[in-house]
Amino acid sequence: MNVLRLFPEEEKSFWERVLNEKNGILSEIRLRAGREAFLYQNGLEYYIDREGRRTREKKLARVFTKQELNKLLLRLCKYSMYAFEDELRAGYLTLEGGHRVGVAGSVVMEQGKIKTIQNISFLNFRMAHQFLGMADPVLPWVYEDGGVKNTIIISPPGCGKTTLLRDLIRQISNGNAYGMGRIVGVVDERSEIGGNYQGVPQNDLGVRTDVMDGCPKMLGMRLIIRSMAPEVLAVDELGDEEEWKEIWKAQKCGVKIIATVHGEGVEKLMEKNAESFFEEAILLCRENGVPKIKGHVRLGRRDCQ
Amino acid sequence: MKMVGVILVMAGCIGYAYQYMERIRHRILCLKGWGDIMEGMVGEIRYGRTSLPECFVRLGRQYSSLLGQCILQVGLTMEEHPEKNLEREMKEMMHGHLDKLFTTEEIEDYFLFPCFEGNQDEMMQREILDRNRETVKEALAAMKADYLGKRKMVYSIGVMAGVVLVLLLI
Repeated sequence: MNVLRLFPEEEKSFWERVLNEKNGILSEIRLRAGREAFLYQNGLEYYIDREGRRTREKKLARVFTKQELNKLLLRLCKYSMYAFEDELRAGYLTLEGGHRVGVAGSVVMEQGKIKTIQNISFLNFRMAHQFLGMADPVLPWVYEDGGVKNTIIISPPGCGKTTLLRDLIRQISNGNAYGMGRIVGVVDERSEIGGNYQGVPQNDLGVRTDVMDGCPKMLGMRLIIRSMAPEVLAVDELGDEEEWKEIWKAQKCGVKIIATVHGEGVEKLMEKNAESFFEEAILLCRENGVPKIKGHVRLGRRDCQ
Repeated sequence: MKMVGVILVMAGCIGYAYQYMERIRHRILCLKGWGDIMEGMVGEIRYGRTSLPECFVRLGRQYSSLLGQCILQVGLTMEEHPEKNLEREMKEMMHGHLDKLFTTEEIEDYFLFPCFEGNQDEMMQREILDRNRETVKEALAAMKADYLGKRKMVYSIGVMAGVVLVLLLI
């Protein structure tokens, strides 16, 4: 789908210029009520001027009003904010094409839970890009004798963990030079891997992939193992202690795990006692603003207890 | 000749009264149909969390009335061209088809609720939908209650006007 269709027809030429990717990959557009609009392309920051062009001069930048942001949000929600209630509450919207809009405003709490977000005055458009073939260099590390190894991708935020995971899922699912196609179960709590829109992944996750979308990881892992019997389970951004425990249980069921975690090195795995079942750790980093595969560490596998 | 003239004048006046009452009857039928569509819409919204354009398509396919066809058309346009403005599409469609039956204010009040902008959140939007449904219900009840009394009055005025005209002409 043409991403331009998500934006108002009345300002077509403005958004056409903003979304122009001739000079590189557009990663983010940040709009704040009453403040200058920014966009991020090829890791560089630009202001957006009133015509939708990139500029370095602050005084030329377009300032969006709160009303304009509201109208834009309403349109992105197809004039139906109620239909995106849960997503708005979680702070983001997934759009057709897998693009995401992060939102921020005044949070309304009820009995300790987020009821809704009102007065949304900050929008962050994160443009979805799938880099097919990104996992090519890591495939030899992920496979052993045609089988998939329990693998963890470790990196600081913004280094391409999810993008790498997405391509790994696709390649494992479709099959590749290192192994035949496997059934992959994906637990996609925040629709980041598949970019699901109305239940359908907008990113190519391969032909043998089932996605449990919008479900808490812990619950999702249990569900998908029970319902879809995957050979490989993919999870993004492990965090809570409970999630690590669930991973531990999942791999006991004979499912191979591909997961990601925030961090700089394998020390994090030691903390969680997870180096015992992950066989391979792939490390990512950022060099001169560009995400890069730093290397891999072979971890010693012990028998599960 | 005079008799024929009297009959023609009387028929004309009563015909005019009949036409006026038919317009009111169509207004009632239209609002009643819209009320049914809104009931369906509230169900779709509350239980299915369907977006408005999808709602329009689904319900438009169920209701073959004029309004059903209008919302179907708007829904299909919005699904095909999400960049279009729902407010404008609805306004054009409703004004184009309902101008003869309803005043501009009535069209805005009863049929254009989805186009309210400035909803602060989803709760406010649902609230507006519910409130609009109530407005339509109340308007419909008032019109129905008014209908019988109005019918007697309009036909009486028609007959009286005919008699006065006949007397004047004779």
